[in-house]
Amino acid sequence: MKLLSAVPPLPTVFYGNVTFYNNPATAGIRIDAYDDAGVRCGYFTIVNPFYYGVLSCLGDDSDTASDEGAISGETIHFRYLGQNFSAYGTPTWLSGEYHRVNLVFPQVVCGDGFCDNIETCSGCESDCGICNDAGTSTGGSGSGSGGGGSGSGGGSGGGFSTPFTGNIPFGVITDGSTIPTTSCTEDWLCGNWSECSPLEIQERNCSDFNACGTYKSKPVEAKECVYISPLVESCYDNIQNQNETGVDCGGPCSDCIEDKPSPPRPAIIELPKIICKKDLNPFTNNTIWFFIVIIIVGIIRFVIGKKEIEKIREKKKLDDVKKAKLTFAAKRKLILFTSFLFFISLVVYFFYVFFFLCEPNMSALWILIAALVIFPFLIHEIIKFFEYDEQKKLLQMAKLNDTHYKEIANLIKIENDHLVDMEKEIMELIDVMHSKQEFSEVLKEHPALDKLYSEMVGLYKDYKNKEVMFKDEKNVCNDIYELANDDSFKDLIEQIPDAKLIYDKLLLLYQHYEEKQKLYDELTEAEKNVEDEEMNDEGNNSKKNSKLNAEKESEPVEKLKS
Amino acid sequence: MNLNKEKKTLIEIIALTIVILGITISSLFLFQKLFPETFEGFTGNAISSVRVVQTVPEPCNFTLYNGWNLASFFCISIYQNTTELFEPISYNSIFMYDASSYIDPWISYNPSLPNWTVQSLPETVSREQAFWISVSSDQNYYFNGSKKPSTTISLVDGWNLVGYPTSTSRNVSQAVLGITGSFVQIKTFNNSAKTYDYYNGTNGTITNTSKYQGYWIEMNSTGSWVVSW
Repeated sequence: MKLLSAVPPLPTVFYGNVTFYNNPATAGIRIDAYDDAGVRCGYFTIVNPFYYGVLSCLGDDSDTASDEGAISGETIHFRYLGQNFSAYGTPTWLSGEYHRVNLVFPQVVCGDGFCDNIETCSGCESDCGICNDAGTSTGGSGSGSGGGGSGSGGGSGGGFSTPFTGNIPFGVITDGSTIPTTSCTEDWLCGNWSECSPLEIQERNCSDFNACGTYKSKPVEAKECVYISPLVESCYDNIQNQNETGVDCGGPCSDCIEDKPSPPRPAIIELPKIICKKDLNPFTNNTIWFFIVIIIVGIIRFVIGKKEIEKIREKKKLDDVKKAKLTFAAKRKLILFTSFLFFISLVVYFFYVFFFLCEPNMSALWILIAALVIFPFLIHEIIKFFEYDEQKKLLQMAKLNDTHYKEIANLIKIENDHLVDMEKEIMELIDVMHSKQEFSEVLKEHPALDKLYSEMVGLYKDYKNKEVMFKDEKNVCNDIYELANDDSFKDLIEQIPDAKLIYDKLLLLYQHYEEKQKLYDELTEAEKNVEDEEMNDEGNNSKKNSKLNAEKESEPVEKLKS
Repeated sequence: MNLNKEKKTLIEIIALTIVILGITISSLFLFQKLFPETFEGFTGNAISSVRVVQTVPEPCNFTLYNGWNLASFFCISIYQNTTELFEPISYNSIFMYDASSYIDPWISYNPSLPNWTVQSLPETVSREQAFWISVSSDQNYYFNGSKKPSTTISLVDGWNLVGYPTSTSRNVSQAVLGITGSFVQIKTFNNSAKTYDYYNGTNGTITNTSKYQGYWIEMNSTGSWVVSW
């Protein structure tokens, strides 16, 4: 629970002039204001040499225990780097009042070794020396600390009379006749001026050759200057700088060519000035709720899209190509929706901010119009990109199918060659058996074997003539099956080893027929996939169709089978 | 064939953009209507009246009393030229309080100070701001202004000095409903009596918010005060 506090009181505003080691204070010197309790109530960094202000000294909240600033009647202390100024005027705090207070640094204290313009030989012998008969000092005893600190000097150089004005009773001190003089003649020697600092001040060190300990003719040790940031220097600033041999050419810039026009300046695109002092933060202007709703809608759509994709993937009835197509379609829809949601939300937000939160400012209208024109094209391009990606994947799938198809066809061809050899071998064996008299009678008792022989002769002829022989092969298989179940043939096998050899070879042949059949089934399946693919993509992908058709024509299934 | 299809897709997208934009803006209006930030939203006068209000002249006309006055100007825009605003009166000094400035929240201007002092009011001021104005005698202030749309004033944690940007006087509890719970107390200065009135959310000496008044609002968090016209 926050304690009730009083409203911030109006501050007291201070202003005046600042003397720094008998010279006008230069720009950049910071003056801090403190209350009696040592709480800093304000500060001011000198902008105009010799003057400060306005310096607002904050007041204390009387309803809280903590000390936030000064209270009525409290004396304000002015300091530079923790050292007090001497303040002349009304350095007291009164809410809402303007007080002129002139400041002198270092604090005017007799015995500090520094003869301020305010001090005299009669008033402070230790700092300004002993007065002679003429009323001037005969030599200061102080060593002085002028020129110390981080900066001093300013003004026009040479002797300086503090131009106190207003209610500061120093008029007599500005009168030259009353300023003490010493027998020691100052002889100041100064170093070179430093580079202009970012605070726009140049400094130098001056020392008194005669070490008088007085600073009456001390030259200024700081002066104002114009600081040019190195970043400002460029090949486009229309100034011959940074070692350029011409204006914006030579040196680090492009070579100077006579009569060559200046290098083109980079185009500056001026953005419309959107003046809106309103709260643009969605967290404080309540539009965060709009974004929360949008994000929730986006998340829901994302979850639905994900589930949809998972469902497609789980469907076993669909082949891979169809699954891929449906998945891409679902993903495309998801991306389309999310992109639209995102872009439109932003457009609406800016629309709301510029036309409702702010006072109507038509100069911002073009941003909205541009957004409305650009976004559809942008989204169109995104979708096109994904479509292209999808087509690439589909082509890959089709290629994979083709390869599979070709492989099976090759296998069938090999299997066919193998079968021909096997059949030929069996026929020869049977023929040999026929030629032997002792077996011819036996064979007559087994018409199935005889039938097989004649069927295989037919098959062999078919192979030779490159004709389709599915029907004959089926008959051969049936006969082999029949023979295998014939008990009397089994007895024969036991008696005649040649018959056993034929039987074993026939069983092997049977197995190969089965293998061949399986390959044909697979081939038919692959063929069907390719055909389906062509049917689905008809009109969508003429390029792919022509490619597939060309391949189909070059290697027809029937041709491969034979 | 493909080109036609592409064109068709683009047209579909543009159409979809327009439709979604329309739906979203309508939803936004509906949302604002259903969940108004103040009870004034229910009166239904606020939405389509922006242009109408801007054309209705309504001057600021009030008295500044001798001494300090805490005042605001409902009849000015949010970019009112400061010199023009204070031209009608003869004042000693003006103070503004910018709560968001952590260095020195006070901005002051005293025309009688020497020109070497660094002091200036902002080039433009707003009806959302309040001003401490010191005058040496009672003066009537008159400024040709007009009615303005609803205003949202951003408030930071701590003390905020804000104006009352409408001429409509309201019950204080209703006027600050949007920041209830976020403010600790509200104070205003009685320019004639030179005393403070307060409202702490439950009781106080402020009964109604009124035009030309400046308000000190102490917040315990950041917030926005929506003041309907």
